[in-house]
Amino acid sequence: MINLLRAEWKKTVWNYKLTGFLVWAVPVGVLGFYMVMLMGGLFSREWMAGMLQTGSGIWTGDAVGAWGMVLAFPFTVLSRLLPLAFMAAVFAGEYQSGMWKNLIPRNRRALLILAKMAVVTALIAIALMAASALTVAGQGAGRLWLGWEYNPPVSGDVFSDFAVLYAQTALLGGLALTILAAMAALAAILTRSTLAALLVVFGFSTLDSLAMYILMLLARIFSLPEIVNLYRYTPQCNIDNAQSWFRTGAALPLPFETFSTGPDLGFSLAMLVIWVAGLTALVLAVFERQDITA
Amino acid sequence: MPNPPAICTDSLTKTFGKGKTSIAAVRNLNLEVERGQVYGFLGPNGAGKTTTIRMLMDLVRPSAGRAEIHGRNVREAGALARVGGLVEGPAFYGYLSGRNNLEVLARTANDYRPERIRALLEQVGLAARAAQPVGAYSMGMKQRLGVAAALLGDPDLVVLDEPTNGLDPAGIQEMRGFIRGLAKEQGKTVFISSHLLNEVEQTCDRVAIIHKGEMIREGPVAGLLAESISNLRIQAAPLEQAEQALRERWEVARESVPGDAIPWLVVKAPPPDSPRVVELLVGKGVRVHQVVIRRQTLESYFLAATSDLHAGGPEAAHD
Repeated sequence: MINLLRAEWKKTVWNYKLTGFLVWAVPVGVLGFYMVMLMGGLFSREWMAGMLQTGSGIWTGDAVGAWGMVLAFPFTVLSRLLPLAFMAAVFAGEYQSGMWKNLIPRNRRALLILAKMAVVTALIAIALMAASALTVAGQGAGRLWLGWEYNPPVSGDVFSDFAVLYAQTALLGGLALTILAAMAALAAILTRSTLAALLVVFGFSTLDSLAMYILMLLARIFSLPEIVNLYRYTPQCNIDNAQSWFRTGAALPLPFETFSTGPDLGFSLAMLVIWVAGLTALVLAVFERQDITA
Repeated sequence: MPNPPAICTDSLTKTFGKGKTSIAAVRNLNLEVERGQVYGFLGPNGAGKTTTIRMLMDLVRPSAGRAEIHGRNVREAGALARVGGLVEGPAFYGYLSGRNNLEVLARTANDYRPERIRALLEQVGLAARAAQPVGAYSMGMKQRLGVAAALLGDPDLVVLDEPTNGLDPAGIQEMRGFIRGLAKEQGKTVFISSHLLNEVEQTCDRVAIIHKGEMIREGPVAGLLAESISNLRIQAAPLEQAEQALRERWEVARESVPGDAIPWLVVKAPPPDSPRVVELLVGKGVRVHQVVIRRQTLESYFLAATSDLHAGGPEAAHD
């Protein structure tokens, strides 16, 4: 499996155009933002101060904030577009380059797809971690320049609390990315086209992000208030709810009459795992039966 | 089974689509390829060659029947571990170099040996260009890289789909020698599909001809040609007397060739009959000027065989 992962890693990472535009663009964009901010600071402290306001004001929040790209609704509706495009291109790319015919006879189909899902998810996670580090460095440098504090002061307790929160956020981000990767894989297998796969997975992601509003609308249209209960089974509800548990120790408040708070943490984590496992199993079943004709 | 054949298919069938729009790409194909053979799989475009190969390489699921390689169903995990294939032209990651493409494929098979990759690149004549992106390779270079990829795991069975596509004449000659060498020197079984008949004729021990998804002939290349009708072309005088004598035993036709003073007699007789033909003519007092044996090529045999379904027998389009 290590060899397979290394093969997948090599062919994905060495596709510089793809990873450059759709993966490394995130940390490079953060780096560029803070470089511009620091250079602008040479001419205007006010302008620099304005740019620093984009952060949360605390380094722990800034570090975790980078994961908002895949976790934080409503930001996710558009911010997921880059990782989704990357996933669609990676999975559909094997069809478009005609490479499956070279790969499938060499290893089990299930392992080929799982390795691809793992590498895609890992690459985006690495990009987001790099973005976290660059955000904290950029905010820290700007605040130091302006003489502002950058709280909380680093201590053993603060750092250990932060490490736990960051790991929890990364875990949720990883689960969210794996759900999206599985969906992208499924879409690519069924459509064999990058654009079609992107449209399908973007549609899925958008429906999931907007599920709360869609269900509220349906409840109103059909006068079935309990229909909103379905929200507790969506990935977005459980991601938001788990984040709420991790950050505040309480369930997510919800604007529904039938249930006003999210489920408990165990339920949310279990639902996310079920989504990952279910979609992955579906991907493997479909891919296992697929005829590779190109 | 102690020593199962390299390839064995049993009523292998593939139908694409359902209902009225379904297309039977391969129908009830029974193949048996012994180990160590160079086996040609011949058919016109669209005959079902590539679909068969895709089923052998577990890329396409058979609709019915089964395919075995070295005695194991190709759908079993690990059944293709000792098989290398080049299916329907080479495909690679254009942004990776030739060497890196081979590395990716070797690692995918969990069999990465840098020295093997180096040796293969030397063998196919790509060592000097191994560091260049495959996107900059010519079709012939990609084809060579495809063959190298097929041989990565030092397979016992090599399946090559149209291996000389895109090669120049020298490259084709070299490839034929290379393929023969795989069987003769390395003891590998080679299964080649082609629509190029002289390629198969010059390279293969046995051949199967597939047409519209069905196997219509199978056997040793030499045997198929021997069983087919060949012609004796004779210049003799007096012509009428010769023609009359020959008609008693064989089918005879006249053929005028521009520049030749005397017309030829074309006698439908297999080459082993030529001494008897000459004996008969001499016995009848005919002067025999020339006897030319025109052997049927695989191409003419193939054309006859594939038109056979409509026109009744390979003789219909001989020579």
